[in-house]
Amino acid sequence: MVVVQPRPRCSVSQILFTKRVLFLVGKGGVGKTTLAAALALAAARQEKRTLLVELENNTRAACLLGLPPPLGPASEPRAVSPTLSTVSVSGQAALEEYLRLVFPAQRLLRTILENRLYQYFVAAAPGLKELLSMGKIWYEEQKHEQGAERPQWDLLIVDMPATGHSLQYLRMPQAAFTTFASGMVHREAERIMALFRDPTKTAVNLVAVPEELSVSETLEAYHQLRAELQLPLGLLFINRVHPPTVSLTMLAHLGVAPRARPQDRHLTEQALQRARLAAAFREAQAPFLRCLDAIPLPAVRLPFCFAEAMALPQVEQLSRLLEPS
Amino acid sequence: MTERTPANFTPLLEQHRIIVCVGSGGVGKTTVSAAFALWGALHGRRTAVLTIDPAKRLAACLGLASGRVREQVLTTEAFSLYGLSPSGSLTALLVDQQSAWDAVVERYVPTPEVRQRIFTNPFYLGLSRTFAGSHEYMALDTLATLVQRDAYDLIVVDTPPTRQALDFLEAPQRVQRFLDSPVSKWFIRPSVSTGWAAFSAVNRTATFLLRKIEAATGVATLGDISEFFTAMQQMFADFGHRLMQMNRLLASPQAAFILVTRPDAEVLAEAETFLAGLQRLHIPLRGLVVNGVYGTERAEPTWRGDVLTLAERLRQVIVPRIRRRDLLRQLAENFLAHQTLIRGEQRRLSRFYRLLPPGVLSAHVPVIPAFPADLGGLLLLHQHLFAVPRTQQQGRAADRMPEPSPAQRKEEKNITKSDYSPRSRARPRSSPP
Repeated sequence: MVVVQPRPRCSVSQILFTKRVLFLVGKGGVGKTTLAAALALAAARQEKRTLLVELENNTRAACLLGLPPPLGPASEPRAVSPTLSTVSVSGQAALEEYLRLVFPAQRLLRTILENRLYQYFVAAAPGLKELLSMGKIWYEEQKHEQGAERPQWDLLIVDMPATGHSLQYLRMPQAAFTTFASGMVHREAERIMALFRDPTKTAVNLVAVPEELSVSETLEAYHQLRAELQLPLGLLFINRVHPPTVSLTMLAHLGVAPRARPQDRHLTEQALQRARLAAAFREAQAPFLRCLDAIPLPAVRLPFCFAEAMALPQVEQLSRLLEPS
Repeated sequence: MTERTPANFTPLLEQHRIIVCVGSGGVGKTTVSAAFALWGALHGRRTAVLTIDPAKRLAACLGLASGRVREQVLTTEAFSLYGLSPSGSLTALLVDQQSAWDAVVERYVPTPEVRQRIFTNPFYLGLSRTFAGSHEYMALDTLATLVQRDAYDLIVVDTPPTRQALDFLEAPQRVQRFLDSPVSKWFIRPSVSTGWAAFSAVNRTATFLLRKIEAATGVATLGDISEFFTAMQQMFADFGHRLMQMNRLLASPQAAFILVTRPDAEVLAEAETFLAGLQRLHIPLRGLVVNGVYGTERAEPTWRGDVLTLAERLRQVIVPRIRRRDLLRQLAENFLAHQTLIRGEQRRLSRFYRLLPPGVLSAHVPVIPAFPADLGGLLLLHQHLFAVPRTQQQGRAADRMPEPSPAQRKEEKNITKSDYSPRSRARPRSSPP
């Protein structure tokens, strides 16, 4: 296994684990979920009581951490270890939970929830699901165990959906706050916004891979988060960085000895072929790594993981790269 | 690890008029669709590719770069940059859901006043921008328009990236189900738009509770919904009918479904959902394209020893001799790392292949660093989608390759030409089947 040591120009725990809520935002498929799981493991190792939050009924991070797939919706936190739990938030479930607080009469509530008109209302009201999911994060941040003085969680790590949709989620509290001049939504939105905009409590982190689409999305997201949404930013994670390798120029001069045995020839030709592929990846990534350097956030580079499959041992290894303990 | 025969999708494209590429987001569906469409243009077909969200450079090469252009015929100049002179044509259509919805509304509204009311209705705006599945309806509707126009011999459809595998195909049934449901009948009742009063007779509890929810959330939606449905009653009936027709066409032998995927665990799991969905809808899968494959078609050599022994072996065999131990070690480590990746990939793929119904054509596209998102990239894909067996390829390439243009020479760094010359291959069909 090839492991490149990342050269973090900062300590992940100093910058991130002192906060209350961490969001991970990036294009689909860049490794947000794996990174969220690894960060959660690293935080939990430092005795932070951590809640890993997944949205839209996802439970992939929970599965990576070794929990079985839930039978129903996993809207109640499930413990992975004494300091680490995961929860899966869906807008629909969050709305139900919210209505349960508003209408204590259980039977009446069930009638609403089973009503098709209600279900259509939830599907159709633009942004309602996003707003309530963000509300649920606020609620978990505020939660205290009965009689306890300190909050139930030290740190919430939120694995967000793909960039565009993430920004819709993060924009919702602000949108609701301005759309509804008064009333419950206005007040709730204001409280959520106060938490998300507080740089001592919240950090929105970007996750990118050094490839064209991811880089352009990341640059765009950075500007929107900073200028339009005015949310506090944390780190830029650059995932799947290919390790340094023998250069293409040098490889061009290398060949197989004419008198090599056939099996050695096949093996060596393949080794050189694989080296050329690796070098080509390394060269292809270089300009995108430079583009990402333009983002004025502390950056953490993480190596490409050459594993047969992504599972708990790989997440564990990634978490140690993030925060050696 | 077994040897694979390279795939050739030529017969598949010759036998079908509509090619539908399905698969999860981020698997390269748009690029594969564009590559199939380019084949059509190079082989005498009037071709259209219906795309949703192309990468910027691919959009640019298809002529879709400038903001809101929704339909663009690829120019002769664009082709000639790559030394191509197609005997057919290539039209790229971008499905932009907002304008597609607007077009649907335009088709059905009786008066400009009603149109204005709908275009400013908050529910309509929310629905057309964010409503789940909205993309699917619009892609299908655009496809229906294209088929009716009968201006194309080959239509390639790049379906929207959905997690709900086949929303695309299930959209018509959903519309129909919705239209038949009591919910929509309530909404369409004109009296409803006047307010809550009309509801109380229908469902006292629902009214009470919805009013509470509206008050609690502050989201006043019901009046808007009702107004929209009342105005669009005719549209929804016709629309549902139109979508049903499309559904029948897609299930007919005129259309071929191709599943695009990657060998990653998650993506293959989603691909399994697609397989199950197609089976449920009784639609046969015709082709499979696996992008980003690390293993090659040839059997991989295996190394069971450790890094240092491999480094030593490489030192003995590579010429000129490498003396630096660190470089040898890097070569050995890299080889073993790739072997690990390939092992996992092969295991996942062979498991997936066991689920595949017999007779599905399959192509593996190797992982390509810095894949050019332009016509050159599409030509690169052609090598793997329309592969010619190795021995033939060499013979043909030698006697059929036209004199390369300067642009072509530039491309040749990336592309090993086989036979893209439209002059030698084009066999325009007399009529679509």
